[in-house]
Amino acid sequence: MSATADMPKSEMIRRSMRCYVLGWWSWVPLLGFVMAMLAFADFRAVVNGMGRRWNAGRTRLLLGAWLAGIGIIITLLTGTIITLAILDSIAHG
Amino acid sequence: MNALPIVRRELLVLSRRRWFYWLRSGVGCAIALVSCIVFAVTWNVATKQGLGAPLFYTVTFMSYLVSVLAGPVLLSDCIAEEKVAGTLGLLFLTNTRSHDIVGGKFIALAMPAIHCLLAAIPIMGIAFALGGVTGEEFLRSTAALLNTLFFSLAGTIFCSALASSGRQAFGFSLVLVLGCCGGMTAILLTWPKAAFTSFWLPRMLASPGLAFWNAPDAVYSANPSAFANAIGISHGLGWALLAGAMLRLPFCWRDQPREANSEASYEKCARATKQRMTDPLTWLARRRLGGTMAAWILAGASVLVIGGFYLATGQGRIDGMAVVFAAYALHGVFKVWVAWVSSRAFGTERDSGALELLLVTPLGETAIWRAWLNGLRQRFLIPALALVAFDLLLAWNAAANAAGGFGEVSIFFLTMLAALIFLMDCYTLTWTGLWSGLVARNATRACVRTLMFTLIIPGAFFLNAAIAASVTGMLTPGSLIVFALSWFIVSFLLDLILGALAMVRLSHDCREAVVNRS
Repeated sequence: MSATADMPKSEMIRRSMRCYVLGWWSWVPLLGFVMAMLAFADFRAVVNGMGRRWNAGRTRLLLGAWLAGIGIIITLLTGTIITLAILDSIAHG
Repeated sequence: MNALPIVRRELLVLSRRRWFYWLRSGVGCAIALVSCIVFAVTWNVATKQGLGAPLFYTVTFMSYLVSVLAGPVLLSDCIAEEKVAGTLGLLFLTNTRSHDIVGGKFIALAMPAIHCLLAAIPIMGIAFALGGVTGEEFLRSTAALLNTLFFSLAGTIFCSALASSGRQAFGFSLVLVLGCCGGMTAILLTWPKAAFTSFWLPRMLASPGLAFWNAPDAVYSANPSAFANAIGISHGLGWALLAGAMLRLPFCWRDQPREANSEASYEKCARATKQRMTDPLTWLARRRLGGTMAAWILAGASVLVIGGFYLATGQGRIDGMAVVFAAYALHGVFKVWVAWVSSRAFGTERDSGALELLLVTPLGETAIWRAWLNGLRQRFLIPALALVAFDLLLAWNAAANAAGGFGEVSIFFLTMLAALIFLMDCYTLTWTGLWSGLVARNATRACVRTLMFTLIIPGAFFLNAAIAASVTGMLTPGSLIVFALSWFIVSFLLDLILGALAMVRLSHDCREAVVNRS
């Protein structure tokens, strides 16, 4: 039994679009981390269940994953700046 | 003597290949571009008398890395694959001898590496013309680089004659070349007064690296005979390895009978059969990819070297940056290995026709690439995590013992970033390697394609910038953090883009890629 039969085509396209939307939402600093993880979960599920079938949302799926990655960088940079500011303020009283 | 017709034929084939032309042009352009960046960064910091020194040392170091890795990447397949395909015996049926085969393969396959090095030497000449480097130093460095390349190629062809498969040959040659040109040299330079350095064997094995180390004027003037000795010994060692390959070749092409009578081999067969019955694809993938022992040995060796450097730093023998560069180099070796194994994974199956047979079964391509991915994960994940855990432990210890300021926060933070990128690189390399192995013409091209955008381009750019900044004294704690952060962001984005593309392509276009390729 092939794993490609696990995901219906409508579900595959819906998840691809959701990955794209979640990718944009992941640009919100700090809170966006959760959205990025959800986008990656959708990306992984579609990749595992896509098989050879044509996916109308393939470009959106890729864009969603890339946007989520940029969102993670934004969150990491913001988190680092905030942490360093807190450490600096603790060190200087 | 049939070596010359063989060489002539191989050179004619090589000269008609389009990629060979682009390789020469590409390497020359890349080195020129990197040199422009280095020169732009350092021209206002270096003195007028020493304007060319940062550029010279950067290009020389890059060329040294290329010379060291050229052998395993280019020549590891040359004899081992003939053995696997069974064509080596056919060659001996003709009027060829072992020295014809070894000489022909050596000269023909070494040409791309020699041309890459020749593309770098004029840039080094420009640095010499700019000032800060003497003519003798330029000649010594060139001689050391050519000698290192010869040793790397000769060592690899010897390993290829010893090994039973291309993968094994690559592993053997990587250990030999990196051990002689990097590890052994670093140990001898770190502990010059240790008891084992008085033996001739470690000094002989470390001679290629020692020749390169003794080439600059500052080191050469202290002990002029050390350079000549190292060059002479390593050159002799290279010829000895070539002679060893020639002597070994007539005895290595026959098929050996398999011993299957012992109790242990019976149990091994029974275990393999049991696994084959439960999950045949995973069994096949694990069989092709090999066990985890070699990955553990590499991770263990890396831990020993990094730990040794760290202890030497604690005793004030070497600078702290040496630990960072050693860790970076060893992690790089681990990543190159991951890329090599993953890009060869599908290539072997495709060439033998096993992949086509698997695709006509009802298993589906998703199950196939997932099994290979699981095999790679089982082989590399735990050793990579262990290596990262050791790095973090060391960084934690360094941060705890630092005298404050920069040391307390930055060391652990930077190590954490590096560890994250190391794991992400390995994960991306497994996906991109599998995809490249499926679409590339041969394993070497697949490996180069996999490594080019993930490791070579960002690594060369940031390593050069770091070396140039370190030579000119611009590598301060503040600039180091900026370097590390920009390197992290670029590597992360590249991993993300390439990894996601490979995942989508592999999951969707796997069957088309196999059909178009075959």
